[in-house]
Amino acid sequence: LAEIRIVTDSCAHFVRPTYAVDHRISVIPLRVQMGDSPAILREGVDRELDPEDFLRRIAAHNATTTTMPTLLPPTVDQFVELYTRLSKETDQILSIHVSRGMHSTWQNAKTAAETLLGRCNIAVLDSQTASIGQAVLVEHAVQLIREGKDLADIVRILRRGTGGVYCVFYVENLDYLEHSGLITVSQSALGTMLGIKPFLTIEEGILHPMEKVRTRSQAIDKLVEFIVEFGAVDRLVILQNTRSNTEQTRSLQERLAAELGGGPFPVVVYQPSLACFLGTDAMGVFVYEKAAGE
Amino acid sequence: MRTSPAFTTVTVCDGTALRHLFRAGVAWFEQNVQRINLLNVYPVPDGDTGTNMLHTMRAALQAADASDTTHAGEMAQHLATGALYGSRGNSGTSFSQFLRGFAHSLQGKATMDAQQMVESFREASRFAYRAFQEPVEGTILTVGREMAEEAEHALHETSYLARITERVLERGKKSVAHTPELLPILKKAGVVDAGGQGLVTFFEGIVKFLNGEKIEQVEKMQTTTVPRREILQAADSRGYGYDVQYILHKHTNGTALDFETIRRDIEAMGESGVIIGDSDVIKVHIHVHDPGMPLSYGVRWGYLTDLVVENMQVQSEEFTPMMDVSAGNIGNNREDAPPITLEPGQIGVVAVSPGDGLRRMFLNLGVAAVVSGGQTMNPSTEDILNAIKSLNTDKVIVLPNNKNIIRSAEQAGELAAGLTDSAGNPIHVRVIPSRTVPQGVSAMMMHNADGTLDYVANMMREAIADVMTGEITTATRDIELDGIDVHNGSVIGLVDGKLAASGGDLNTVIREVLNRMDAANRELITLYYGQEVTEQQANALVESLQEEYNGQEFDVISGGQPFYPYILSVE
Repeated sequence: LAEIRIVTDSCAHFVRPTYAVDHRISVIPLRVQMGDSPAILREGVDRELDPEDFLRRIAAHNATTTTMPTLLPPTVDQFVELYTRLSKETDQILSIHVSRGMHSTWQNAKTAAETLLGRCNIAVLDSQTASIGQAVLVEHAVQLIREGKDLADIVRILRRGTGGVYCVFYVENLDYLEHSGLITVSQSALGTMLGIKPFLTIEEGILHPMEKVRTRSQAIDKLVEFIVEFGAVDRLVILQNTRSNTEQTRSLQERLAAELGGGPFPVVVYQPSLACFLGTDAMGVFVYEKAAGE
Repeated sequence: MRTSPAFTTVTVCDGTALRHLFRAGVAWFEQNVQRINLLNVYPVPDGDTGTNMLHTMRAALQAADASDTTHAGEMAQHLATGALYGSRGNSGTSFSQFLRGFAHSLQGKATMDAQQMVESFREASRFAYRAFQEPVEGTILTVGREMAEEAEHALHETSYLARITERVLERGKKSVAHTPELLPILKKAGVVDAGGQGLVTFFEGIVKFLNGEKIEQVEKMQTTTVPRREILQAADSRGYGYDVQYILHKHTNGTALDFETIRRDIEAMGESGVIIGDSDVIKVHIHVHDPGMPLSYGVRWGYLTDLVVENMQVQSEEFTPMMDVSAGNIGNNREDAPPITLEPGQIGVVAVSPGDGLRRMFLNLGVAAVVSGGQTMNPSTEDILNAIKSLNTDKVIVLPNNKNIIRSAEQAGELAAGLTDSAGNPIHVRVIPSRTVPQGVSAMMMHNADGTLDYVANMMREAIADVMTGEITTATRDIELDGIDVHNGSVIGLVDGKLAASGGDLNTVIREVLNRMDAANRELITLYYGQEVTEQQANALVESLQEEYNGQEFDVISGGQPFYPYILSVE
């Protein structure tokens, strides 16, 4: 049996940028269409999708359907091409993708995988999460391959493992989520009169609006509350919208240091694929809980 | 001279008699309702105790009149059910609980004798106490309890219902007079408890009826008819029409008034006629659709004084809270987007809102149904219950947003607990005791339609503490309270329901209130401006406040609430 090769999409956000290359992970780019412009950019490939530049650029426009970015999946052909190329080196592929409850990438991967039936064993896995959470799952897969587990076992374990990744974000408005079809129009209108900042989480692969706050300091309180509820935080990553630390991030780091000890925790600028969902003013954390006995 | 029959030697009473007694109590109460309203101790415009009790009593009577039973237990049950659904405010819900206990004890009893009446009074008091988690002495509860105790003592002396009731009333009067000794705030305000006074007034009407006394105050009048038909009957299809009252006087040297003819003629014009008097002077009170008729008729006989013509439709509408699940004006304005549609099994929120702007805001926050009402007009238990039932789900959270509505909301929750939603699942209701609009808003921050009911309710309950509320209004009486000297008509400010500032102009009071709320050390100040304030005025105020509070964000919302030019919150 040849080595199992891992495929993921560019929504997976590795805190260490070289991780994918170092571990021979194939990252297929998601594509971003800017408003009604015909140009389509590839995440992780085209320079225009540098995360911070991207956020700054979309923030410069009012959020309208003619300016808001749309996240497109890799085409089925692109998947077929990648899988075909890999099938020359291996007969086992583990393809881990952004939650199918949030995006159609998984569906295209699945369709492409079917065309290679009999030539290559491709397991297409719904990560039921995105971004950092998706990357954590990929890293877990790397670990399991190293331990010599077979593909079926790995898939079984990872399906169970998605429960250990939690995230929560707050956003200044829900325009982008509405645009990407993840919430309904009436949900997105909630709280607009009072400038509410809604909190969101991904549960079982689906984005859910949860509590709301009215001020930034309340937002930090909520994030801290969310994090300290975990008894055993294995990893914690803070996502923000600029490279330089914001006041909220500084305050969050201080509070977490006091509550959990350790830190400072890694801070990253969230990627364009996530920005297509959350918009320009989001902030959040991913928490990976150490499973009991692990 | 005509007199009504007296019932002083009656020892047993059936359902019909019970209804007559109740009607007499309500009639007398109705005449004294303003006196009871004036006992409102807190100097803020709030749900009037008398009005709330009267609406509760009217609902009871209406339910009783819909039945022709002569069975005492059944009639009591009709009264109790009517009161339960129609109850408004804390005093109204207390009164409805008295009736519940009374009816409970009469269950299956076709008649009520003295022994039974005493027992029923005791049950009435027990139920009323049971309805409150922390019963307060010096209120209607104390008065009702002492009246019930007196009934027991009276039983040793007599088995005449009238005599017992008379003693009960006398004890009630003493008990009411004593309420300021039990509740310091009453003493400070120099008043007795309004709810207790309401209960006593109701019994006064009953005793007057039993003694064959006239129900009218004017001394020289003789009662010739007890309310022949419904005193406060509900509308026919043409609505409530007009309430017409006047006193008809014989012209000096004119012909004597033919009382019987006049009574018959005027009663034929409408509903709920109460016409009493003699050949010199007649008091007329009738509900008609054309107010001109009884007036023109009257002046053919003599001259009129003390005219009152009221449009009952308008009054009724004022007290018929809108239960409106549509935000209206669905269009390009996102703030007026349609309200959320609940999936069965999701948690729906019912909120009480005192203003149209606040109604839109609550819908915008994800409230599924808004019951209009609050400050001075408290919605009834049934209004809230209907809103609960209108939701397509079995999990409901209610935000009363007013301390005087919390009990009604709980009562609505208890009534809903016996019901099922359209899918046949039993309805579960949790009431979040929000006492102000900002507390309701704060609670909504924690709302999550897909959570588990108790978890979400607890989160929402805790969130109430996250916000401080300031309320700006005009004092309705002189009083010294919470260390603040208040004069009737002056601008006052409250912080979390406690007096914080009084006197001076609106700006001074608002600044004092913000100062008391420590706004300078908070992040966000929200102003909900009322219906008497224009958008320009509100914005001008915020502009001037921003000079002092330059580190704070401001949110300005058109609340549209009456009587309170500004409701503030800081967080």
